[in-house]
Formats: sequence, C-alpha cells, structure tokens
Amino acid sequence: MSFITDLQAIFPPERCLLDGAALAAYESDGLTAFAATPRAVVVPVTREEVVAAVRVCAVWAVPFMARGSGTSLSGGAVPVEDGLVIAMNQMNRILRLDPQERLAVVEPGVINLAVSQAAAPHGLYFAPDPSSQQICTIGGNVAFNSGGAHCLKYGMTANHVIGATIVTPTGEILECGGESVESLGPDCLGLFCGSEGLFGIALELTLRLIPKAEVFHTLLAGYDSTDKAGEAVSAIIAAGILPGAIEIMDRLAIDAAEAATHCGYPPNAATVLIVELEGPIEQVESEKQRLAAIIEQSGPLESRVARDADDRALIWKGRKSAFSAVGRLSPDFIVQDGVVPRSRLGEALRRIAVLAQDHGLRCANVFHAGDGNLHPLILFDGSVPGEHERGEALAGRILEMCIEMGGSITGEHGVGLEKRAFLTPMFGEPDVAFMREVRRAFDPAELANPGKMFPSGEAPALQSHGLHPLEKAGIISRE
Amino acid sequence: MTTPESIRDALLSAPKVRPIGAGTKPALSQSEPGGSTLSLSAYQGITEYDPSEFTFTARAGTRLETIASVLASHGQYLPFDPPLVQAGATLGGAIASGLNGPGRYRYGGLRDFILGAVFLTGDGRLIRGGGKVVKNAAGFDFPKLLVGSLGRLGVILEATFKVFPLPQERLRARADGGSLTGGLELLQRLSLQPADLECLDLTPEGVVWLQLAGDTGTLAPRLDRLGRRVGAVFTPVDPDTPDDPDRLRPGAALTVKVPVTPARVTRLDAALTTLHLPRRYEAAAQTAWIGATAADLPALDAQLHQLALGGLSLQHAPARIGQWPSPAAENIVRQAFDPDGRLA
Ligand SMILES: Cc1cc2nc3c(=O)[nH]c(=O)nc-3n(C[C@H](O)[C@H](O)[C@H](O)COP(=O)(O)OP(=O)(O)OC[C@H]3O[C@@H](n4cnc5c(N)ncnc54)[C@H](O)[C@@H]3O)c2cc1C
Repeated sequence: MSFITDLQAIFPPERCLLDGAALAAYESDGLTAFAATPRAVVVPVTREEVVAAVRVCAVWAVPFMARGSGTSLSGGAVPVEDGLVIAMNQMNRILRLDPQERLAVVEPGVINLAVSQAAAPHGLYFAPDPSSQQICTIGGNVAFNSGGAHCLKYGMTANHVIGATIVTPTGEILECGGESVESLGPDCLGLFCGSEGLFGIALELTLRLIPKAEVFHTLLAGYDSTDKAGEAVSAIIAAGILPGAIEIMDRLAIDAAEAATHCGYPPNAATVLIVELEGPIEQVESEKQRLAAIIEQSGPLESRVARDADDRALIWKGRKSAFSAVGRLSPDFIVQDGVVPRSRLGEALRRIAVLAQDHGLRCANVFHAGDGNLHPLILFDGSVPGEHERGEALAGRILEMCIEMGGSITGEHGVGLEKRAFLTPMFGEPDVAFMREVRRAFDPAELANPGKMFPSGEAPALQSHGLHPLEKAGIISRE
Repeated sequence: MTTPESIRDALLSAPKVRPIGAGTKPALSQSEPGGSTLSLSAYQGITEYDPSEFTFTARAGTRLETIASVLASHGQYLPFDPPLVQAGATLGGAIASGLNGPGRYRYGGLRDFILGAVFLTGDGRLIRGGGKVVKNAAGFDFPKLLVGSLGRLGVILEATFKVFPLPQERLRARADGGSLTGGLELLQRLSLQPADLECLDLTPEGVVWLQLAGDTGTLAPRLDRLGRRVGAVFTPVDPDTPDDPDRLRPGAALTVKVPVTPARVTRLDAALTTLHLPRRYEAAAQTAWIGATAADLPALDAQLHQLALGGLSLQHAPARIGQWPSPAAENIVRQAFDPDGRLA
C-alpha cells in the first residue's frame, strides 16, 4: 500500500499519470516564471473521483492542487513540488442550463466561454469575461475571482456564482449557496470565491446568467497625454454615466496592438481611451450624446464611434490583443495587476514611467480605467544578465506604489506565488496571520495548494517570463 | 461605545454577546439566554467618501438614512436598496442581516457591493478584510462572509462599499397577469428581456410590478416597447404616491425573508394561501417576503420545513425558521472567527 497504489485503485492508468514526460505538461501555468514537478497527475471524470483523490491525499498527507486550464498569471496553478495535481479539465459538462430560472449548473472544468455559448440562444450570458475566456475554466475563475473588462458595472466572478459544492482538504463535502441569488446565513460562498484553491476543490458550481444588452455603443478617442484620457474618465464618472467598459492603453501598447491587428487606432496618440456603453436603445441613445459632449470637452486628438458590429470587434481586438502583441516585442515580460484609486490613474502612470526609467526597462500599459485596475507590462530580455532581476524589482516597486496609494496588489489575477511577498505589506501581520488561521480551519494539515498566497516556504524554481504557449500559438490573448 | 477599544472591552467582558445596531429588526437584535447585547449604534460616521471613486467607508452604527442622503447629494445611491432605511437601520446591521430591497434586481445585493470590512473576531482581534478600491482580489473575502452572519461571526466596526450613480428618472408600472401562474409566466418572460429593469416584483394575485430607471425622457418609450415585446399592458404608477407602499417596502409589513426561485413559488404560495399570510415575490421571484405575526410563526416554520425552504424572521423570534442551509461551512470558519463561541 502506498499513496500511488491508492490512486491507482481509483484511476485507470490513462488517467493517473506518473512518468516524467506526462508530468512535464503540468509543471507551469500562465506565469511561466515558476515550475515544479508533481509526483503524479490524476484526471477525474466524476466528483466521486475528485473526493476520493482528496481523501487519499489526506490519508498520506500529500499536498494537492486542482488545476483548471493552467492559465493563472500569478503562479497559482504551479504544482506543489512532489504533490498531486488533480486536473479538472475533463469534468467539463454543463449539467443543467435553465433559462427560466436564469442559471446554469456546471462542472468546474467547463470552459468559461462555453457557458455563454450555451446560454446565447436564450439571450443570456455569463458575465465574467476574462480575456482567456476561450480556454480558462469556471473552477479557475472561481478560485481567482477572475474579472475582465466589465467589472465596474457587472462585478467579478464572485458576483455571478450562486452555489457551490466543495470538497474540503479533509474530505468533507460542503454545500454553499443554492439556486436563489438570495441566501441565508453567512456568505461562505463569497468567502470561497477568490480563495485560490486553499479551502478545497469546487466540484459543482451554480452560475447566474443575465440577459445580453440590447445595444452597444463603442467609442475610441486618442489623446496627446495620459492625463487627458484620465480626466475624460473622471468626467464620465462625474456625469453619472456607468459604461460597461472603460479601457486605456498607452503608446507602446497601441503600437504593438496596431502592428498585430491593424486595429486603426489614432496614429499620433500618446493614449487611447475606449468607452463602451450598453443597455436598452433609448438609454444608450441618451448617454451617447452626453458622452460625445464630454469627450469633445476633454480635448482629444481625434475620436470615433464604431460604425457596426465588425468595427466594434476590431476596436476590441486591438485592446484584447495588446498584451500578447507587446509580448511579441520582447523576449520576456511580466504583467502586473495592481489597483489604484481611479482618480489617481494619471499619477500612477507617471510614477510607473519614472520607475521604469530608473530600472532601465520599458513598460507598456493597458488598464481597466473604470476600476483603476492597472496592467503594466514590463519588458525585458532574460538572456541579458541582470534584466530579469531588474524586471522583478520594478514589478515589486509598482505593487508597493499601489499599496501606498491605498489600492490593491491584485485586481483579478490573484496573489498566487508571484505576489506572496506583498500580502503582508498590503494587510499587515495580524490580518495575514488571521487569514492563515481561517485557512487552517479548512485545512489543518495545509495540503490544498500550499505555498500560494501566504508569504512562506520555498518558491519553486524561477525561470524566465514569456508568452503562454497558447498565446504563442495565437489561440488566446491576455488583457 | 465610540472607539474600537471600548467596543472590544465590552465584547470581552461577557461570555455571550450579540452585537446590535438600532434594533430595527427586533428578532435579530436579541441576546442569547444569559448573554448580553453590544450596541454599535453610537459608533457612527462616514469616514471616507470620494464620489469620483464610487466608494465610501462608514462606521457600523451609521444610519443608512444618513448614508443615503449624503450619497444622494452627490447623485449616488446604494444599488442593493436596503430595507428599513427610514426606520433607522444601521450599516452594520444591514451587512449582518444581509437584506436587500426590490432594487437588488438590477445590479445585485449587498454582498455584491461590499468591498472591505474592519471587524472584531469573537476573541477580540481587530481584523481588516478586503480593500477600499472597487476591485481587489487579494486575500480572503471576509467582507462577503460577514454578509448575513447575523452578528454571529464577528463584530463589524466599519465597512467600505461601492456605490453607483443615481438614475435621472424612475418609472414604476404594473401589469396584471390574471393569476399567480399568469404573473409568473409574465415575470419570467420579462426577466429574459434585455430591458435593464431596476425592480421586478410579483404579487400572489399575479400582478407584476416593475420599475425602470434611466435618463430623462427615455423611460416611457422603453416601457411601451417592452409591453409590446412581451405582450402585456403596463400601467404607469406614480412613484411618489405608490398605491401599495408597505408591500413595496419589505421589512415593514412583510417581515420574513425566504430565498426562493420562480420554480418554487407556486408551491410556497399555495402553502401561504392556506395560512392566510400576506406576501410578495421580489427580484424576479428570488425572494419571498411574508408578513407573519408571532402567532403565525410556528405554522409558517412547519410549512417552510415541508417545502425545504428557510426563512429569516425580522420581527418576531425565532429569527431562523424553516430549513436553514447546513451550518457545516459556518462551523469551520467559526473555529477562527469565534473560537470561544462568544458570538455563536
Ligand atoms: C492570455 C491570458 C489572458 C488572461 N486574461 C485575464 C483577464 O482578463 N482577467 C482575469 O481575471 N484573468 C485573466 N487571466 C488569468 C487566468 O486566465 C484566470 O486566472 C483564470 O481564471 C484561470 O483559470 P484556469 O482554468 O486556467 O485555472 P488554473 O490556472 O488552472 O488555476 C488557477 C487556480 O485555480 C485553482 N483551481 C482550479 N480549478 C479549481 C477547482 N475546481 N476548485 C478549486 N480551485 C481550483 C487552482 O488550484 C489555481 O490555484 C488571463 C490569463 C492568460 C494566460
């Protein structure tokens, strides 16, 4: 009897991977900086198998990590060295889609976009739309409380999950939430969302679906300074308009996007602003006039409105491809995900530019301006001695700046391995110690995804940063 | 009690404590037998509000009415539409009871707008969870956990919320579905429309109430189009003189909250008909609000058990009736939040 033979009693050989070559595919996630080799990978197809695997881990005190599609950008899905990977991606059935009740019950390995596709014939969709949505799983979205471009108005994943069945690291099954958007008692489901796999594995999730907006109005404006774009955002907010999305890109990001997609962004602009209104025809018609007046006042170099659905798609294509495109300009890069108060975006960008210069590195910026979520992209060449370290140092300074400005170290990518050292600076010792206590209440032996989120332990080997293999293949792009 | 230190001292001075706000939900504001209450209502004040950030931070004892009026003076509001605002409900009590009003239909409930919280654990540790910016994925989401916790996991001292701009105009209208079944059908058709409704309620007689919100001059044409699309006749109702104010405002006459879904309404309504209890189905029939006196509670409790539904009674004890969700997860977090069981 051993850990491995116990697993083999549950999983057939083709779903219980043990040899080096098979395991290699699971060494990293979307943040290719970190890698670790698991002892084994199991691929459950039923929730009973997941529970059984977790219980075997509990018996043998072997750490485990659930893996969705491995697109985490913070090292959250890097295996625990010599631990078990429970690959959830074959648990990918939509168990029930109920338009009348406006919900979907899914297995956690379902791809995010698949839910919206299944709901589309009913005029419904699943609102969280990370730009990895063609590939990332709902289980991963829940673990990281993932977002996208529409968070200000629609919230994050946690705001769209209403029920979950969870197996805790001790093998206990918990039911949280249900089919109603209302619930009774403490919101344990809300706590589970964003817990980065540290409380156990989601076995089944109930998702809320919402009607797709009737019309969209997409505006693109170019400015000669980021400050002006930032002021335009403030003016939109001050006018009481609540756009579906407000995005900003700087020159380096524009260049890259233009080269990659010919998206037709203003050629001389230092910054572009994308604002998308959505809603009932009459409301959008009214808001678009107010928006036009604000944009005109804000002194853009030029501005234009998407003529039709294709044009809208092109504007978004530029935006959504920006990071992968910038990544192609540089052998390696680090994407950060800090948040600052929205009214201080201009200041944050100026400080990032100065920091980048101090570190002798280039930094492109794409961000969710509506919610102050920065995505600075630090470019470096890992083959040049010292550049990687300088890139890491710069990333760290940017996070410190976000904390100092009263923001957050992560808006949607999670803490994972990457930002562990910054959790305590953001919260303070007592808060982090308490988080750890809550974690131990679920997982006394700390077997579920240990080493993530909390500032401790050895980090797995650091490699160089770069595009996710699927990005290199042009299958996905990042925001 | 006007400082975290004095609140902490009071908390630790008793073996069983129930933190309370203004007591607008009497059944939730009672101490356990042999325990005491800890009032937060003097711990007041909006500590931060920057309208351009869409966020504010306030102490737990701050009255929602104060918050709502400060927000309104900057053209903003609490989108989850909490009940009992005029009655004096406090922010801390709103979080702990986790109640929402009909307006929760459009953008979500209180849980969807809370961003951060400062609280005392049952053993008196001061903890900060979440953040003060509209987006944050760092650390565990303790603020959400406290929503609905009924003061049994922590003493909420302060919280940060996201808010939204007030609509320029609102339009309330009703349509008669003829019967509960007809009303439910209409309600479900409406809930699938891209109509961006602010409220969508149903009465047991099958009358659908809806509310639109948006820019001046846009609402009447929207209502008109919506009516044609779903094949219903909507009659506008003056929002300032609602013909049915108590029923539109849960918590006053309607005192028991029961989470439901449209598919569960028919059976619940049949049971409530036998019990002769007033009720209303809110937020596209995701919440049933039921009016029940102390004398009605035992029978309602039994019916809810039969239907495998749970209820929260605001007015009369016991607060928890019917079949509540398993406390398994709550018991796990309690080990850290309230190791001595002081708040349980
Ligand atoms: C190109 C690209 C673009 C991206 N764009 C965005 C974006 O716009 N917004 C955004 O928020 N993120 C974005 N991301 C990050 C990433 O896609 C998200 O974090 C996503 O939710 C991860 O899903 P996954 O299935 O790949 O999970 P994985 O990376 O496999 O896992 C992530 C975490 O979830 C845990 N987990 C997985 N399944 C379960 C389960 N069933 N139960 C419990 N825990 C589980 C894992 O243990 C791990 O800690 C992007 C990533 C890439 C590569």
